[in-house]
Amino acid sequence: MGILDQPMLEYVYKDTLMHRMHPVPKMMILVVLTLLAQFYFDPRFILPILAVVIILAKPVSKIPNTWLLPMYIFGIMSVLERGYNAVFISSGGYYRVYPSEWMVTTLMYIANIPVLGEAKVTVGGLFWLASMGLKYFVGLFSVSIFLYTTDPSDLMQYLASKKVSKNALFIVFAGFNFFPILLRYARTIMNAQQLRGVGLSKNPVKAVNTLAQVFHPLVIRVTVLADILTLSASIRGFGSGQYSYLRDVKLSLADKLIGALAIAFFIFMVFGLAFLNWGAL
Amino acid sequence: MNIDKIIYRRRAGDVEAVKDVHFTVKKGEYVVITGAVGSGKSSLLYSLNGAIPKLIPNSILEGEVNVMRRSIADLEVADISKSIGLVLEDPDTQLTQMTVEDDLAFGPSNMGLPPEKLRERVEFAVKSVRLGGLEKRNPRNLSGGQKQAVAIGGVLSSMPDIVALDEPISMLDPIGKTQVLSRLRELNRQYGVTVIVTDSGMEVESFADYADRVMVMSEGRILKAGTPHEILTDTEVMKKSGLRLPQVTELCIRMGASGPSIPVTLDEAEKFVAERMHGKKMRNSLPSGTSSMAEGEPVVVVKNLRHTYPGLEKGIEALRGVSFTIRKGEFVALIGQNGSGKSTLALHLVGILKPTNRDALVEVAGLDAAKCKSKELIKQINYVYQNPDDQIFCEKVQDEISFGLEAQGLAAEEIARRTAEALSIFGLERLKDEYIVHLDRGRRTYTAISSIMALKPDILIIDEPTTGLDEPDSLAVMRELQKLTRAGKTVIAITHNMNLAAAYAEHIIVMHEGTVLLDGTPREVFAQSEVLSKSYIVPPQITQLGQRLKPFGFPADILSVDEMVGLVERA
Repeated sequence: MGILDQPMLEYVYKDTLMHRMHPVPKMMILVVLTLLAQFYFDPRFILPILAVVIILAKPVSKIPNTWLLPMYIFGIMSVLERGYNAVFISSGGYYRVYPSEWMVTTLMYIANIPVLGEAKVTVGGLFWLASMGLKYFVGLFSVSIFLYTTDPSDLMQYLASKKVSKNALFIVFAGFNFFPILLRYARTIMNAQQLRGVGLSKNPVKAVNTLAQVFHPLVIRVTVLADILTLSASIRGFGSGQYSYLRDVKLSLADKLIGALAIAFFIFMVFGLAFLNWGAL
Repeated sequence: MNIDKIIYRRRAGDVEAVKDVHFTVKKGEYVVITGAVGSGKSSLLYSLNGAIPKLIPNSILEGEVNVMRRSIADLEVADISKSIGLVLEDPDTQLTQMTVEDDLAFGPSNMGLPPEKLRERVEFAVKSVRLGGLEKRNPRNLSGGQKQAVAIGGVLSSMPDIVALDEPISMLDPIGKTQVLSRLRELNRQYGVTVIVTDSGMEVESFADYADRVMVMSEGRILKAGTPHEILTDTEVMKKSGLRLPQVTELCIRMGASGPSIPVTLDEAEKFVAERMHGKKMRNSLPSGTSSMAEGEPVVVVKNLRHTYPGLEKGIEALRGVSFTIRKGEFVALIGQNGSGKSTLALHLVGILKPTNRDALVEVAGLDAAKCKSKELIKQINYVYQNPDDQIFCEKVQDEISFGLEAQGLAAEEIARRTAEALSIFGLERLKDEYIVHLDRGRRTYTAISSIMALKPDILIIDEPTTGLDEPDSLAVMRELQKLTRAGKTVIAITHNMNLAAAYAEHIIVMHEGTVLLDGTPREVFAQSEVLSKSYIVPPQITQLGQRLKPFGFPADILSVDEMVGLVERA
């Protein structure tokens, strides 16, 4: 099976601990881990968080790498983009934990760029870049775990049971549907183009050219996607009255306990961050 | 439901897609609206629940539509949906949830029904459209026909007063078609649900079995409305609106039936022919070898092909050890129930999918399709998608046809020559500078097929070549495919249309649950009705009639009305 024929960025039914967990405590755990990773800058603090989300994503949730592929690509591209900022971090004033003399040590001088200043690779810049990469991947793994293991209907049904507004429900509905449909469109278009002799080349210029050719029909489809989602929801009565739910997705005692523990852990770690310089560089 | 003189334009200044249409549908009626592609059937249907003009930007609807004595102009589409359930032609646009059972529950959930009622409705819908075992699957990962079944089930679960379906069975296997139509009839009879179905005329045989009334549309107007018998025996109206007669009706007219006695159903035809055959016995059987497979060199050899899609715990086995051989110049029909693995198999032949077992052999024109580079493989074999919009990338017809030729790096002169040649196949020359989005489904299908034919592959796979097309367009496509085989090319058509398979194919491969159930000539395959029923296939109506008339010596493998007439004349 080709990579393009795998389901990506959408819920896949499986019987794992994360699949069985209620969407709300699951979201709380993942949000806590993601927020902490965003607050910290010291890779020594972010690495254990990344280890936890990788464990949750791989052995616990059993997410295949092919499903994660767009996330990997996005993560790597984001880190590369951040590399641009990293070469301009040279001031010792950023550092509170590590010795600033060591952090500003220049490993490689690049150039003096007008307006922007001196571009150089420093120890601190590498630390900062490493922490940014780790942050991205914590966030991407967390989002992946939630999308892969959460049946959107469960979330919608829980929100409906809490009398959440129809507009908010539609946003959840459209959000969960939009990207899978978009990826399917892209996949079908790329398969069809491959059959007409247009394939993804290893040559980056040709690859970009191919993607541009995918982009045109994709844009046409995306422009009608919102209309399609509105049409499909409307003709099936969405928005006509109170939404009810097929499954009872109530929070169990264990779910509430997990949620409370996640909040307590978050408060404890934020306290350390605020008063003990946890996670600072 | 009362429709009063409605006129519909897609936008101001456009020609009317629906012109001055007025009719009344009584509670509990089963109405079929038929006509060629572009006759205005779908527009009329969309205006019944307010989708036109409320959800179609810039559209203009004049006249009035009243449902259950209420004007729909005053209601939101979501509110009207409680009274009218609309099933769209393309099921992909109607699926909203991530599992089948949630999708089936979506409509009644929007009515605020309690969980236990929702469960009942889901079970009802699952049984109605044969989706047992698929409840936890993502509907978007199902086959086209299964998706259509989910879309229909999703409306049935809401139990609306009126169910309006736009070409609901075009993508279903023959028994699936019968089951859906029977279920609609049952809902109609048992619960008084009013049913309105559009059909482009490919399923005329079903009208008499299910419909109370048939309306024939042509160029936006209702040409004639009446009982199925009145419509199906009016050869003039049927011809004028681009529709064919049911096979048994054509046969009986050719045998001298006239007026109210012209049969329109299999039962009526059996009785009619049996009366005519009274005291007679078949003198001749069909000549052997009238339908034989080509004897050319093998161009497709598949051995022990397996494919498992990811999902669930152990994945989903779509192909379970498929083996067959196709020879050069054959016209092959790949048939089977929805989800039997036909499209998965076809995508292996063009290298889009790879086998999931190591000992599989997929050899296409001497190349290993699992290992060969796509650019090399597509010189030998190519694939036309079921939905033309899946493979259209350019704005204009001519650009679309030359797209693949340019990607292959051909010289400009060669591109121009091949493009002109491909445009002429379906007479698209006059549309070459048209924007594709403005073309109807038939012309878009022609464009998609022509764009692949321009690449001149030796083997052409075409997935449901006639879906969404009317009779004249379908026949035009099949004739062009037949021309290709006569020129030495090999054609593999994936189809649910048994009439066309019987008329054009020389070799039929029947798929069933990821395996090859039958592999032979149309005569060999269609003669085995009982085996075929395992794969939800029923032979063409004329073949079934011959099988019913076995006591008179009729063979079990009649493939056309001409053959049957010939046999009767020689009796």
